[in-house]
Amino acid sequence: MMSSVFKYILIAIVGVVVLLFFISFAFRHADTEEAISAIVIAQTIDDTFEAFTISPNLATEINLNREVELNVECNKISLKNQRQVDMPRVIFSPRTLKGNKIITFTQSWDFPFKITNFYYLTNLRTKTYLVYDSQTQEFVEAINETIPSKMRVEMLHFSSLGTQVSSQNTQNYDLIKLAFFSTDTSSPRNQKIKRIKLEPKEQGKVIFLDEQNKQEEYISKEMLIGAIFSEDYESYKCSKDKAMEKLGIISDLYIGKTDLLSKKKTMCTKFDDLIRLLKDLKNPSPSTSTLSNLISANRDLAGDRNCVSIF
Amino acid sequence: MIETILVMIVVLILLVIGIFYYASFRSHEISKTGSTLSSQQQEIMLASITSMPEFACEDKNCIDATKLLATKTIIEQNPEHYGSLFNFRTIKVEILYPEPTEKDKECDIVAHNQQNYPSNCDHFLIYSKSLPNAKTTQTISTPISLYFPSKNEYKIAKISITKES
Repeated sequence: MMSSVFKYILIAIVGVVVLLFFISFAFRHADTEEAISAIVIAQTIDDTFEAFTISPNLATEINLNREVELNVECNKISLKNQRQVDMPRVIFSPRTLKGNKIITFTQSWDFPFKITNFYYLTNLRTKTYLVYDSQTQEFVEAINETIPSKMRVEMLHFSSLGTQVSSQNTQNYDLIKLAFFSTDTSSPRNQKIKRIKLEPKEQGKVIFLDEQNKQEEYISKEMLIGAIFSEDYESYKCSKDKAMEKLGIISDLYIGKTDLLSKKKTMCTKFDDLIRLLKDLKNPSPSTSTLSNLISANRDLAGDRNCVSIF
Repeated sequence: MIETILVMIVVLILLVIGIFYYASFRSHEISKTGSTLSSQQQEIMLASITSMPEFACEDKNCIDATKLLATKTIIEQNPEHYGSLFNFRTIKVEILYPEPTEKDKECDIVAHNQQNYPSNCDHFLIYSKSLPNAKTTQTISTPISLYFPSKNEYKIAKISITKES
């Protein structure tokens, strides 16, 4: 009798242990598969961006084949709760992109020579409005023409703002970005709406209206577009700093190239001017006059038979 | 009683064997996925590297030899930036035609400053970072047109990327 009871108890204990083992195995297996899938997705995105570097201007949708929550943190991307993958690129994006596809747009940043590619990300649950008034309409139209329609950016006259961005319309989105080029920036407020104020010119300041009016500069049209797609001050500043770091590196590269060529082209006396201008380019906010002087100095080099152009 | 224990032991052994085979099958699959991703990455990098501002000529259809020399210095000055971009790789450009007069000599700044440059050297070693205890190396290459701005002449060359893992 004892033996039979003991047998049942033993079988029950072993059964529970085996069952627990399988349950834990299933959970661990699911976690591993999720981690592998996250790395594959992040790597696919990074490879797609790498392939984009060949193109000076391209917009496309990256299909992820399943619902994901992609977190973009300056130079790192990760899927929800998974390991981050380093991305040594300049990415302007909302911090979180949910959905089964992400929409990307890349532009070559030439200042005046190619520095790097800027990547702008968005998704179907993000909407961006460029708010203009009669004085800024022309500039905003030019910016809007640069951005492909896939990026879900729309021009909006200030007078239509209230009706277009009503609480009903915001329900379908995770993030609504209002980029004000108009003088007046009064608008409906809610947690989904992020507002910035930009100047209607290619070099100026962007003010993050929902973050104690924090300001940061932009030095080109490509960077202005970056401010439009960034979620907040921190993410814009981080991407801008990376872009400026790259500008410094590439300027040093051209200084090095000029220096090497000056040793071969000893009859040319114009290299020093160009080196001085290239050093000016490394300032925190290089002016448009530095750019035009640089282009002109390079043209001078190309026109002189004792010299050779640098870019 | 003994029969029950024996049955349980046999069942457990079968389960362990099953799990072992499943784990080795998955591990093989995962390493296959890893190597597929790695070769994809290599191919994409090879295709895109020639359009990077650090290498490309201004008209973008060739590689600028003077930039290669300047880039090497820039990479040494910014190891973190380029380390995250190239990881454990070796990037090399070899001059193929016309054949240089000197073989196995690196085109560095010393060679550049000599009168007979570029025929006095046969390769540019742009980046090299080794992985300690690397198990595999994978090399891919592509022909390129190499431009020497100081002479305004082009040579046929080959750019190769070797990845250690």
